[in-house]
Amino acid sequence: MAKQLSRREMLKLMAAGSAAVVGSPLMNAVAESAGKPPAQDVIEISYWQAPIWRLGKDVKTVLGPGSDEWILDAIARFEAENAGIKVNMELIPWDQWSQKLATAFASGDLPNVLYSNLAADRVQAGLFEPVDDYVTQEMNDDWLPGMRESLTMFGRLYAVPAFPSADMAALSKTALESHGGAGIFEAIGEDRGGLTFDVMEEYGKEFGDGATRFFFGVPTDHGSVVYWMYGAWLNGWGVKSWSDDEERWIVHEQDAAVEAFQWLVDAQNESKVLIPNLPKWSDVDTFYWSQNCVMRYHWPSIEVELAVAQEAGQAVTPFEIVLTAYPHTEEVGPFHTNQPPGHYTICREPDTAKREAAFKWAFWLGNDTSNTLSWVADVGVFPVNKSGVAAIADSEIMQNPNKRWVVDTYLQKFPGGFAGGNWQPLNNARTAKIWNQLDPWNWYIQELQSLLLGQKLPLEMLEEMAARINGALGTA
Amino acid sequence: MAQSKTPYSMAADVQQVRSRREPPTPLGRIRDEIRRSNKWAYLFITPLLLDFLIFTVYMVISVVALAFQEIYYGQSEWVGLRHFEWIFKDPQFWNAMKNTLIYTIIVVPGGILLALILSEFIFRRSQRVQVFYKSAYYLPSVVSTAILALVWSWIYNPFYGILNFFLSIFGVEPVSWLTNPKNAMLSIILMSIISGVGVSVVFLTAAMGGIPPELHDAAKIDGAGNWARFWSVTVPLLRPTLLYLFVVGFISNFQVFEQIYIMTQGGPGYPGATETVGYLIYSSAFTSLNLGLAAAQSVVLFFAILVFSVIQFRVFASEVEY
Repeated sequence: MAKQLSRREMLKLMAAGSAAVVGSPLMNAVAESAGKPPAQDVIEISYWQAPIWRLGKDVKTVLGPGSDEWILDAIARFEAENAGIKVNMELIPWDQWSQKLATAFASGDLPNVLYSNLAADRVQAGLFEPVDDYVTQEMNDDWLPGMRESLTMFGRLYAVPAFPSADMAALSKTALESHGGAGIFEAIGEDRGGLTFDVMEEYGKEFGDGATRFFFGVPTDHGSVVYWMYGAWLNGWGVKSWSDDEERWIVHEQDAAVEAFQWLVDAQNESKVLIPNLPKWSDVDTFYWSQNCVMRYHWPSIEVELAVAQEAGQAVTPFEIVLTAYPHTEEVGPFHTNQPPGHYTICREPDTAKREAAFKWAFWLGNDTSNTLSWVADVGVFPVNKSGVAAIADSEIMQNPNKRWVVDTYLQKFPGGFAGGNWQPLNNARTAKIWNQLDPWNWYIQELQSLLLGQKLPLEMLEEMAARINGALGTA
Repeated sequence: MAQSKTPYSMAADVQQVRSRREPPTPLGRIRDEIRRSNKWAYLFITPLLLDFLIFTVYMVISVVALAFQEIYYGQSEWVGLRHFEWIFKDPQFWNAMKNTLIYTIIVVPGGILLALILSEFIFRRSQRVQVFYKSAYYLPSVVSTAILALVWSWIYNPFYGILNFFLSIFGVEPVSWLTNPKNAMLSIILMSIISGVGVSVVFLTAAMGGIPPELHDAAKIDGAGNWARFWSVTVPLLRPTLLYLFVVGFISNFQVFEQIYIMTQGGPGYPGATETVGYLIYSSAFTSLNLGLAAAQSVVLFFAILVFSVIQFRVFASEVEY
């Protein structure tokens, strides 16, 4: 006869079961560590990275967005050179990047090395370690002018520069030659600094048909609206976004800002040089790759993206891109956006050995000349130091006219625009915190949509934005 | 020896019986329940119970606690009702609540009505045809909402979408389905109704199978036509199923997020034409890192759903026979 379980026996059984569930991973861990040699000589560091590489480790084979082949190879090379350090990378897809960082910043549970994300409020909250102590005179002297200064806050260097984050306008030469408007290249001049709003309109009308072909594409579903349409676009009209102490948003106080946004509305409705109907990023991609749009804002990595699109049969071949300075008025003249360079932050870490190892990895990745060619070819960005520039000066890729123009003209001859790309309160911790809590990455997009939909006039939009931002800051 | 006789007391008897039948304390009741029931059952429900306690009860309590705090970069500060004060005077939140209500009020009854009509047609067909249609309608339910939203985004694309292509054949100008504030919410509602109808069809056809055929036969003998039998026999007997679909549909649709996130990001325009409370909570938490505010918005959403669910039970349940 089956024995009935008593209550006590049942509770014992449940307790034993629960203990087994909880204890088994612990026992596994103990067993695993017992079988290994002592690990005190190896310093393990965690490293979070967005998938910015698209090519294989040969820096030629097209593998597509999110490829990890190159970075895995780089980690292996670094670990071979630095036997005492192990890099544990987490390559986080772009669609999970913001959620991952949001929860990590909220909890303060961050990796040792983090791609990008330096901000004054985060520095003030003690999330990042200053790295000045690890920077030697030699490193310092090797960095290109402005790199160190852009990442210095409250008098200390808080990130390791990895690449100048140049963004610009990209014209499709092939499309202009096919459908009209190629005269624009003569109009903007040899230094590619003559792209004014009037030039855009004139050649835009020549290229477009107002129904299927449009000169300019602005992705209206993407966070890039914040830094391109409220940063670079306004900069081109001479509109400064923040007061000097960054305690106020001042765009609405400048007549040129109204003019800047009215130009966009008219470009959509009147001259029809702007893609209408609130195109998404993917729509602008489709227009651009199929030669139905010739200008967009982008990073120089657009040439790598073109290779990926051609490989996938999404872009026509041949396809020639000409990078130029952002559009601007005659008075403002050509400028580069003055964005802080791409960088790595070293997150709060009590263990000094780990901190040092983290810096070593971050510096090696962005500054070692063995990696320079990859950054240029694979990611489309440029060296952060003089030795990097020299290392690739004679390489095949640097014979590309766009690359040469960025290095020789855009970054060196054109002045920088308003600080921080003209969109973010870069150096004021209080303002940065409050502004971020206003959800600009969604809200700015919706405001631009309202404008292009005709729901609001430019001044109405700007005053509404000012009331919300400055109201939250207490400086309305 | 003479036996001492105590007078009979009925009240004492009742007390004795009651004390045997009803354990006096809640703990005693639990003890009695354990003694009485199958003990193995507790072992088997333990994993799910733990899951419920940790991932539901604990999480809900944490969210409520979070609603009264400001969480920033690993530090927390009690801020009392500050987040709730902000919510109640924030036009963006009330716009989101309005959008959520419009979405739910159209999607839930609209979806159930469509499912009811389809079920009535399907149920009259042969078994084989029924299986085919039920599978066809149910298929979108096994696909993730994210994929469906992506596919519908392509269908609705103003430049290359197949819907505008078909309309152009009839000379209709391209329509801005998702980029015109007047059309955007309706386009998402249409997608949600069409994609979600399968589940209701399966429930309703199963419930129709449980209706005794004699009732229909009797109605037929009384001269009732198809419509009269559907309206006066089928629909009343489907009430328990309809109530379930209403309540569950209301709760899930009130939390709509995926299609908004993928198709419109709450836009177009500001305040967002399709911004729902679910999407606003996501934005507050993950793009502006304001976890306390997001938690407070979640608490308000919870109470809104609770109130509407209670109302539905009050309105419908009194007439439902289980």
